[in-house]
Amino acid sequence: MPSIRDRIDTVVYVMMENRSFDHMLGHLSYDRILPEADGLVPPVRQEAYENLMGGDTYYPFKHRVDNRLGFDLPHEWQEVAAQLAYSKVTKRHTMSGFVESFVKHARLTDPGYDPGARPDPLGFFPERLVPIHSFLAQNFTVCDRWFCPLPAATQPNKTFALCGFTPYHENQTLISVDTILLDWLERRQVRWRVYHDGLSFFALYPRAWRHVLSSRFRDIEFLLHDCLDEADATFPQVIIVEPSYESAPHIGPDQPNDNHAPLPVGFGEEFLRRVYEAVSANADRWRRTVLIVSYDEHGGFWDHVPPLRIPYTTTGTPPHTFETTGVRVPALIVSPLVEPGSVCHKPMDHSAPLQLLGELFGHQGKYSRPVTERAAQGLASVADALTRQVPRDDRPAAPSVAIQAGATLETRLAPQDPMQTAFETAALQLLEKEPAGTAAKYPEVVHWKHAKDRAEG
Amino acid sequence: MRTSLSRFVALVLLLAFASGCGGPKIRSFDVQPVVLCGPEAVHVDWDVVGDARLEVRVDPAMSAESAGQLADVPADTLTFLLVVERRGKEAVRQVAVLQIPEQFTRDVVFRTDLAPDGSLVAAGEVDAKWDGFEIETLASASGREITVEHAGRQDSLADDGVPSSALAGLPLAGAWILRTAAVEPLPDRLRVRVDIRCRP
Repeated sequence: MPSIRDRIDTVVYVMMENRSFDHMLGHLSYDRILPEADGLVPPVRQEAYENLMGGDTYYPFKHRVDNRLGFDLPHEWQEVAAQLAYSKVTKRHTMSGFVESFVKHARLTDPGYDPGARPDPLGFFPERLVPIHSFLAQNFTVCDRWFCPLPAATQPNKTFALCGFTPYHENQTLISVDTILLDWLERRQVRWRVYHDGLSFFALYPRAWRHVLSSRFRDIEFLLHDCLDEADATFPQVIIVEPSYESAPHIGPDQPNDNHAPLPVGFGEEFLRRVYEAVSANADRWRRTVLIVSYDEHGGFWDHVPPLRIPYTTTGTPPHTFETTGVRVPALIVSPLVEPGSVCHKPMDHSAPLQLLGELFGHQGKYSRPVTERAAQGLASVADALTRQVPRDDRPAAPSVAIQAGATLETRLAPQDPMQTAFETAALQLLEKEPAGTAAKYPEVVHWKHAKDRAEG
Repeated sequence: MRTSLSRFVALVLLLAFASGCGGPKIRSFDVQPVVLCGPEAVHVDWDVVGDARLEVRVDPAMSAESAGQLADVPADTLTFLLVVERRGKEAVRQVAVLQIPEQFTRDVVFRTDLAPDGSLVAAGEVDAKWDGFEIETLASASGREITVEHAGRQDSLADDGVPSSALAGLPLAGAWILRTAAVEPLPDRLRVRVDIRCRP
């Protein structure tokens, strides 16, 4: 039997933002497209799906259109705790507090806000509105037990994904860590590259700034060309593909596509279609490639599966202990090394890709001690989802359907939440410290700064 | 005198300038009531800076549910969308209004907690938006005996779901306390089914 190292040359990792499993992939079981996946099942009016507020009951509903939402949904750690709605009586999480948390958040700025019968956290998309997610699930593997590691916001979860640990339990301005995935890859002389569509998330880590402005960070427009034509000797073994982040500075038609609310998801669908088409374009290379698509956290959207009772204590001072994982998120393993339409039920979190990298490139097959500890808590590796010893020969073509998304072009010149503040701080500091390099790598940031300066007089 | 006049003129010019700057603003957007009892009128009021446009979208109730169909929603929803435009920018606010038949059945549900006496209690407040409805009958929908306290009255509901009219005529809105014995399996919520109708 060939080892995992014998079967894989390239790992491609895409982390989208802020959606729950049921919200994006619940339709797979609801519409009997992939009944084995643990998504939603009719009827939606059942107690297991119920959200409670003010004596009222709220149930999931299927979106008919993909519109921009009115505002972002709450998902800081205190708000996530309210969403999980732990019952002291039954000693389990009821997952019934998402609407209450959402309305409480909305009433901070609009005291009379009423969610109506279709509150945003409970909407789920049909295949028609998420054709690429659905296509990837139907043709490769969907992981229906992949949870974000912490019941908290973006930065703690994303830092866990990029470091294998997190010092923080809530969002910071810039993120200070003593090591990051890119350092690990360099130490092991692994060829890596980041393809970014706009300002990289790594810009939030001052430790990574030397990389962020380096030639290892390339515009996403080069991905297809590099996958098709680059020589094996230089082609990366690990590729991180970053969408255009909703929280980052934007200007004009530069449309974010990371699926962070309040964005419509159509732009993210188009982004994933381009990524899949690029990484699968070279048939020989594709046979030895694993594309991992997951989400940093649930973003305030409801999911019916309670979190895993796997605790985590942050490494910062003072430490903060979470008793469970965060909410379940969408996750897809896209590779010729999986069966079409298969479902991986093994429990996973953001340590799963790091475990795989450890097995491929690590000392004694390990990534780091914290990641090994995570595995010892029962969390599986992406390698556990790669069920084929011999790669499939087919390369399913992504649907070419038109994707419809409703959106307004906007120029946001002032940050409105901690993540936007973090991105703005990173952009301004990069411009100050490395003006030429930043302008060359991220010209849209220069344009945004120019507009911002003019608006501020 | 001249100084006062100059200040006045300057103030007027400043106000005129300030009112001419900036984008659209929605100072208030009020839609009442947000739960409609049958063919009732809706009063919409707004105070904005900019050109206002009001859009109304109707999402009909869906009771039949099958694969590929809309998820079940118990009532028609009217969405009032206020769009204000000014200097090429838009501000948007929306209010959802439920349109409910004159007679209607709904559940009142609250999460349980352990009471000091060892029983289970589920308490909360039904929103004032339900002011326009009164109770006809009430039944336990949790498969267990439930004692209900609401609007100064109390009733014991049988576990078989037989409706009681002991609370008939009381408003649906307001504080509710539901109690039940801590008999296994312990529920994480208590539910009563309420037949309601429009208040005369």
